[in-house]
Amino acid sequence: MSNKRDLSLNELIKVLGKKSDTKIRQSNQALLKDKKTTKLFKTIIPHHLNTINGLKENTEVLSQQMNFPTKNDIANVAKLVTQIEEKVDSLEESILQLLQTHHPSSESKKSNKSKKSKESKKKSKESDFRQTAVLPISSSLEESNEQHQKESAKRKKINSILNMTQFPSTIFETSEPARERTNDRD
Amino acid sequence: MKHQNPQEKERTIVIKKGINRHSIFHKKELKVGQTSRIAIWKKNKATVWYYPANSRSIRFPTPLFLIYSLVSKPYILDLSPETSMIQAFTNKGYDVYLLDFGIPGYEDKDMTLDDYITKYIQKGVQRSLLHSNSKDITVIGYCLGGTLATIYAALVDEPIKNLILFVAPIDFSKIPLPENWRNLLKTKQTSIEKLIDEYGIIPPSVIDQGIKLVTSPIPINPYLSLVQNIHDEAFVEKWQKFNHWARDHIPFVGGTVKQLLYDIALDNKLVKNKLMINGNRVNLKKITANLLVISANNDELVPEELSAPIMNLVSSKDKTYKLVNGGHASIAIKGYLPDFLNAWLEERS
Repeated sequence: MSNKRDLSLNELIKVLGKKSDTKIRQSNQALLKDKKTTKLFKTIIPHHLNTINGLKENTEVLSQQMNFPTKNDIANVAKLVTQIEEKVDSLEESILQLLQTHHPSSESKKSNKSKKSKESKKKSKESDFRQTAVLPISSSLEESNEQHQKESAKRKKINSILNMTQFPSTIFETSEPARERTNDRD
Repeated sequence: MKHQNPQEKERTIVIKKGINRHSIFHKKELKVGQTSRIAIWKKNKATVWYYPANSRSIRFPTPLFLIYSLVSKPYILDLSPETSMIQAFTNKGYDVYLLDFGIPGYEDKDMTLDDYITKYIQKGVQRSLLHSNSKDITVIGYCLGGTLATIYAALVDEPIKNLILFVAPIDFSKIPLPENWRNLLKTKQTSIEKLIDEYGIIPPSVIDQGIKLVTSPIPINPYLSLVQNIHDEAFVEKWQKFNHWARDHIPFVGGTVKQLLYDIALDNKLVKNKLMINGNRVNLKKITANLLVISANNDELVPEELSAPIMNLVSSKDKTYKLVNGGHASIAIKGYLPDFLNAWLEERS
């Protein structure tokens, strides 16, 4: 009786909360350790596997009839994209290695000998150089491709204009296909 | 209910206002990961983010490469300006590179540990070394990211100067797995692997429930703590962000789940030096980098017994073990570097 003390509502809720938390954890652990739980899972796993398998097969059959793509179809397309990205990545690596051979590591060794503040300045210069020289190709590849396309379109226009002005009689010649004609002139 | 004194009455009014303000009907967007960063490399869903050093006085030449877990998003390391570990590093003068594995899709279901180590971590470190123009690097792994960092460090020839492992499970012989469950996983291995293959990727909700099963199925204390501090705007915001992260898991690819479950967790191949990655044996004796291992005394997910054994398995001459107060994610949301970590890293960078 003498050990009792008055608790405010907040303290009471706190104590009850902690006790409940501990009780729930203990009962959860006991449930997991119980052999009946593992026996139940042993019987559930094959049934669940058969259900999932059946659903998947039925979806594949339905997709052929109803003409909609399945998860596998989309995943296969995504895998192709991933493969292309890996190839681009390996190209980028080869370019980086080439750049490294042109700018060997002896420069970086010299910069490491000076004090830290000087090191950081030199390093920032070199890293700036690397960052500007070594383009993040994966992000600028689209830009460079667009530029290249624009340039090639311009060239084609110029060539066609030149062809029209210099060799007007060739317009009416149909012995060679147009593609081969432009290739010769290029 | 009659209030005892004016102070308690005032407190009740403040709590009511707090509940109204932070109720589910007033959901506000939680801003996380606010530190400025640049993407220096992208592959599939993964990105290596570069956080430049923010210190005016000093800039360490050895950058840091952070690897987070495969089941949670890494923005816990940059939850808010006050709790950001990344900002803590950059303010001290370290260039930080963070490997964000992204959110895998069904098309990634066949990815294994081999892919994560060689195609993502190794490539990410190489790109970071090139970007930073540094001769060596410090690799930091958190939780499962620490396990991956250990495998990586034991396998490759990249110049890893320092290896820091935060609450990383290494020795799985001491996981609190009941014997009946161990037998179930072993005897039904074929069925379980088929089930994982059928799913392809383990949904985030299953991971969430799995973690709750191990720690706390019905979390009561966190909500009690919130109610008691409902008047504190800063506390509530921090609570909301942390709670959001704790439930914001990412899918786990089936190929990696099978490898982690059977090779690493049940057979404990990593510690026995029997783990094979891309046909190469992972030998922990190959690790010679300066090693710092940090465990938390109240970590329910990765107890100390899972992390500490690595100290006797590596060949590093300079190795330090530290046990800190806190839970699994405590150190990631401190917002500052503990003194021991600051001193250790400064001396070796």
